[in-house]
Amino acid sequence: MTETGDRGAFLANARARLGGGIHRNPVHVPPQATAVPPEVRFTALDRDDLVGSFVAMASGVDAVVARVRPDDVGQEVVGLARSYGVASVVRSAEADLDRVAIALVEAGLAVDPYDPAVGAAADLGLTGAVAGIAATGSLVLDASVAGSRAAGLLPPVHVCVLPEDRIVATPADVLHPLSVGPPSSLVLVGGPSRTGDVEQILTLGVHGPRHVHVVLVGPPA
Amino acid sequence: MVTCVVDLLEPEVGEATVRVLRAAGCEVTVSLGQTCCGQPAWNAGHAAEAAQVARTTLAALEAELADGAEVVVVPSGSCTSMVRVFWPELFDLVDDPDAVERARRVGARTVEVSEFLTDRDLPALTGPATRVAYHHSCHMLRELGLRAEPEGVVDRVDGAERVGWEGDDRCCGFGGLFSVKLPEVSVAMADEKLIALADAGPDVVVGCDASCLAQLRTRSESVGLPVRTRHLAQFLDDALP
Amino acid sequence: MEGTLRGRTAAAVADTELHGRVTAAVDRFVAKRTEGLAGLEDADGLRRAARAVKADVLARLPDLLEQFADRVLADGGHVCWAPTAADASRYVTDVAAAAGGRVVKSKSMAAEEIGLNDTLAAAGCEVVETDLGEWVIQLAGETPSHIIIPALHRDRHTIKDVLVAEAGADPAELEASPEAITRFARAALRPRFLDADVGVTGANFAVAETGSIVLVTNEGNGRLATSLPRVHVVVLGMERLVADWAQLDLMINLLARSASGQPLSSYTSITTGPRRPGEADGPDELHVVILDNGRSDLLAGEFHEMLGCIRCGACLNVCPVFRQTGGHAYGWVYSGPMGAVLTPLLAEGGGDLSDASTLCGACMDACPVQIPLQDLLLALRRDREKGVGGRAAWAAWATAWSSPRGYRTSTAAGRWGAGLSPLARRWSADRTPLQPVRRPFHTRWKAGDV
Repeated sequence: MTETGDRGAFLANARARLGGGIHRNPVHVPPQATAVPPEVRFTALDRDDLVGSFVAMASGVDAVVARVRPDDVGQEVVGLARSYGVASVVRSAEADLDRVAIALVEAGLAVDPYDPAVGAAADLGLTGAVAGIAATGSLVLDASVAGSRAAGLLPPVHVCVLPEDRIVATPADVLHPLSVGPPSSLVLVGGPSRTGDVEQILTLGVHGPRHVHVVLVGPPA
Repeated sequence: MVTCVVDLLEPEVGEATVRVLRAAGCEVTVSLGQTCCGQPAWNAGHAAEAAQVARTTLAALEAELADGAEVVVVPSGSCTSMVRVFWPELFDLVDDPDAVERARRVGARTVEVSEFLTDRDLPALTGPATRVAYHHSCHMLRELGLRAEPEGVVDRVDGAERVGWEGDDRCCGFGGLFSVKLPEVSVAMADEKLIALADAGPDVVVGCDASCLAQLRTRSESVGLPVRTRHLAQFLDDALP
Repeated sequence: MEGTLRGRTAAAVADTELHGRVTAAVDRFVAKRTEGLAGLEDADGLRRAARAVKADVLARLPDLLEQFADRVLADGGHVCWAPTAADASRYVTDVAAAAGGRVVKSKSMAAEEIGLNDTLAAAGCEVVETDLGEWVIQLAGETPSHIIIPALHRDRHTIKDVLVAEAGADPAELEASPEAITRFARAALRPRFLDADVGVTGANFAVAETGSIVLVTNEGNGRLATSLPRVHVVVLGMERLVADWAQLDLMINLLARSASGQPLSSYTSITTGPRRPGEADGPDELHVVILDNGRSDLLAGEFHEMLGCIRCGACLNVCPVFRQTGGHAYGWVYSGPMGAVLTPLLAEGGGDLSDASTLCGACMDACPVQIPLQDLLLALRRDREKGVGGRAAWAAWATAWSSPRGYRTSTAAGRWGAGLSPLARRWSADRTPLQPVRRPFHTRWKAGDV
């Protein structure tokens, strides 16, 4: 697309500055520059129990996690919707949400595919996730898979259906593969939206959801 | 190395240091050629002036070391930092590579008092049961990395009970000229330390920098709730047989 | 910048309510940071590595910027190279006006730096800040007092006052509680997101390898601003690049834990290009404004490492001076130790901010990329003194004190000289006097009394 301003001059200026060598602090001497960082390792991560680590970390950021068998996912989500008095649900596009959507409709709720207006009016946002991150308790939302960015962001309640076998260990496991080409939007979500702007008192549900539920789908019985 | 602060404002700290070092079995010499390490000018951004003064002290310490002294002991964490950590940069900035080398050699033989005493025998140190609040001065803690050393030395005094207090390693607000450039902030910083001290209720505040102790002491006196301070050297000296 | 540093800091110190709020906030952040970093193995090793990575990025910055820009363009985005604040503001304003003029902003320090909101407003655009704290200070016409909590200087009551006065809140209905205030903000701002033509954000990081923009946020406004409006404009400080995903991984882990102790922020959003065909939201148009505004002047020189700052706020939280004054006393959008260094380098004025420090070093110990802030503050003092009087006094001091005899003579009087008396008076205004003694140590030693 378009380029404004003078790239050549902008970069030539920076190159000229760097041309003469870079000052090194003589007292608190910097280490040698390195392009390749070490691996980030997490003290609370149990690599032999990624699901357990994920549940602990996600709960720690105020997401509510339930582990269910595949056949019970629909009822779990229906139960959540009822508990919040939900009438309307907006869903993202993943095919693996279809069964849940059907269960919700059968339970008398309106379920509509996402667009911004629908999302803004819905009581609950239903999405999948391409991964969960055990070390941080994060959900990974990919717009190229979900077909949108804000289905789980606009409504006050976000329910995310995540198969357990998509839980990976660390953020690096999600980020490194992006070299081959990231989607238009990838979000690592840690629990509900929050702020400490008023007297540093943690308050949930600012512009995003107040409640985040993760329905972890285990292997078939 | 006496330091100008001890020399001119708190000579008793110097006297106590000498006595303690002698009690540790050392022969103590003091070069009358030393003046100041240059830190006041260095921190004010005047490197040339700082170097001018620092050179004099460098030469004096060099002479002592050449004359048989094995180590330079300093009753101040900030002055020790100046010599060991900042002198090479200072002399480099004023384009004196020869002094850089000499400073490195002297710096390698320069230690702060508690650092020196940590591995040395002292006679039995006893005192009355005393609750001691130890104040960690900034350069000593963050430039020299000395935390356990002064605490350990205090603990060697029988009767001393170190009490924890909130913010014990936070800056007291002296900062050299900062204390008079932004006096309101400086005093507010001291006040917060004094409130934490009041909560802990020690009998004495001990530290390794006389300037920090003076900041806390003089403010506490000014508000009518005086706090007793002793430099570590004095605290040990008090406990010598 | 109004008044003098001493005047502003003295006024701040006198505000005991402010002090209470600041200390409560920073103490909490410090505790959180400690807890957060304990979640990483060898956190100090990672900080050291982050310093080394930033050194790599800065050394290769022109190439990385080129790679980044090419990727943005290839993905259908627009790039603006903005050497000055005015270049950046003008471009953003042109884009915003052409798109319809209704702008929602997610917090951007770089945008504050260039005074973007004023330029947009002057061009007839409606700009609303959407970060809760930023919205409050925008309504109140104030500047931020902390990087992470911009409205730190206001409690729930004064926040409510602002909402009543400026946002149409009904004083009888709006409870002065964090929950109620938050609900009010959500309701008030949601329509703005839905109606906006343009979302303007900053960028915490930009990934050169793929032309991606990374936003680290908690409230959700950053995501909404980059999902709903048709146009997304990013104000990107040129130094905020990382080369690739491994470097980003290191940085986002350190940033979140250093800033607030969270393993990651609530939302780490990574956007690459505009929306793709078939996607139901996301911008159609993406503009990335690459901002210099004095940053390139710092490259390779004495202040080079300051470009490594990731704006986490950890240095503010540990600074014993910031603790007493809060952020407004620093006079600009950046405060605390990083503000004391950046302000004189990027803005007009602020040359005396390096005096707002005792050089205690706590900031360096807290910085996730190990910027030698203490040394940079001292370097600023040296730079300032080059152009200013006061040299004569130090020269006289040096002449006297560079000989033992001069030292002894000049200090023999047992009192401060005329030159130092004003300073001595400043000391003893609120502290008992410190007097030079009549018999210094060297006299006692010489006399054989020791």
